[in-house]
Amino acid sequence: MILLVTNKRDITTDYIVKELRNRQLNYFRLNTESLANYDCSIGYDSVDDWRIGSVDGSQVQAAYFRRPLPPEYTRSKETSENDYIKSEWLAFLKSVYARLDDKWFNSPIAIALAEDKPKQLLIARKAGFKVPAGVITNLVDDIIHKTTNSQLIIKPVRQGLVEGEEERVIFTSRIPEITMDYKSAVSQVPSIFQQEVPKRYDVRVTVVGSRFFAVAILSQVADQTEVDWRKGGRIDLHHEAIDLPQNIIDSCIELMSKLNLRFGAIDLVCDLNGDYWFLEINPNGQWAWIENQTKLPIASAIVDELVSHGKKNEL
Amino acid sequence: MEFNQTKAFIFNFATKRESLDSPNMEGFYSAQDDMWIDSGTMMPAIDLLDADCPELNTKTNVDVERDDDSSFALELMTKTKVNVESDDAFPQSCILNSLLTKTDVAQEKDDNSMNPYDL
Repeated sequence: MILLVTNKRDITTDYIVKELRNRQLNYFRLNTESLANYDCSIGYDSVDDWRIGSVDGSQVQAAYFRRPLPPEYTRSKETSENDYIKSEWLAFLKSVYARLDDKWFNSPIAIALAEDKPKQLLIARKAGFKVPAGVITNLVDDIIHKTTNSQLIIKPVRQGLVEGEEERVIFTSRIPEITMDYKSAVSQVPSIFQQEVPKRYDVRVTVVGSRFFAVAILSQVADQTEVDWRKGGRIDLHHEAIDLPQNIIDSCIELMSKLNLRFGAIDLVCDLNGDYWFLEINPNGQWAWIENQTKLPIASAIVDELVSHGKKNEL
Repeated sequence: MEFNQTKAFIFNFATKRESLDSPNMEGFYSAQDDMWIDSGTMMPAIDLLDADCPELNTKTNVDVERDDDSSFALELMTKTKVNVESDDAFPQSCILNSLLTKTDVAQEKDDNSMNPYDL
């Protein structure tokens, strides 16, 4: 059995479900926000001694971690009791995650560790990628003295969403030349400052096991998407499957290996000379829209990997 | 561009989150199908996203705000790319989130998850 650990709204998982159903493979979709609705137990006779609903740990051969949500619970009138129960369910869920161990296609631990962007940049450079010159800092001096301080971009170290009453999004953006006037503002939070790479197009490489699905995203057609193609939520940017040079594939392989990932969504830039530059890797990145636009069989490849991974675990 | 020198520098580049960044998926989860179903057509959302549909590839920003199919498309791409591609956008969903962001002390105060993987 293949276990899909996800949430109800994740329609990317729906693509996996569809593929599994088409192949008549046995699977169970665990929407973790609903965990409290199941009868569950964990024993300690063996690592597979656990149960969620009708699923027994020993039945699970491979597991796919795809954006699970924290368990929900609202049955008590006391908020504090609901919070307590939710946290207990979360602890239970984490124990199940740990029990799955080698059965994960991409382990949550590997995913979390691979989210580290400074680490990504370090490993990418060692893997042979061109990486835009830059610095991750809250020091104006660093920007002035360790970069060209000209044609730089800024991007968040972690995530781009500023939550609150009026939610805001920080996309990768061009910045002006930095002077000491910015010292106080820059000092408040470290950010990634990098040399902007003039683009021919953006590239998204979706890696599934040993398969590479590379697409060019023609982002230079609009001012809005020149620096960051995500800006504006445009779904009309043309996507085109491309072949990557072997040296870039080799670098992708090394990066994935060093980050202990079997799946990854790598963002590259193809510059005006046709050279590729590494921007970042999303260890649990989106992929279904690419399949949607290009018909590249990514869901099928993920299911292939899950099946193959499950067979290895049977041995 | 006017820069606000009192706020963190990066906030000067924050843009208001538009509906485009946060599509509202109309529909419901079907336990029978294990999929999200569009309430208008009662079809799986992903079946509405057939890229062969020329409409989907030619939509403008304005169009997508009014269009459920495009909300599904955005769910696959834009919003998630920004805030959910990082798994700890769901702060407690990831087994290692607390390992990476919480100290033991902080955890006792503000995180009841008590992650056994905390360093």
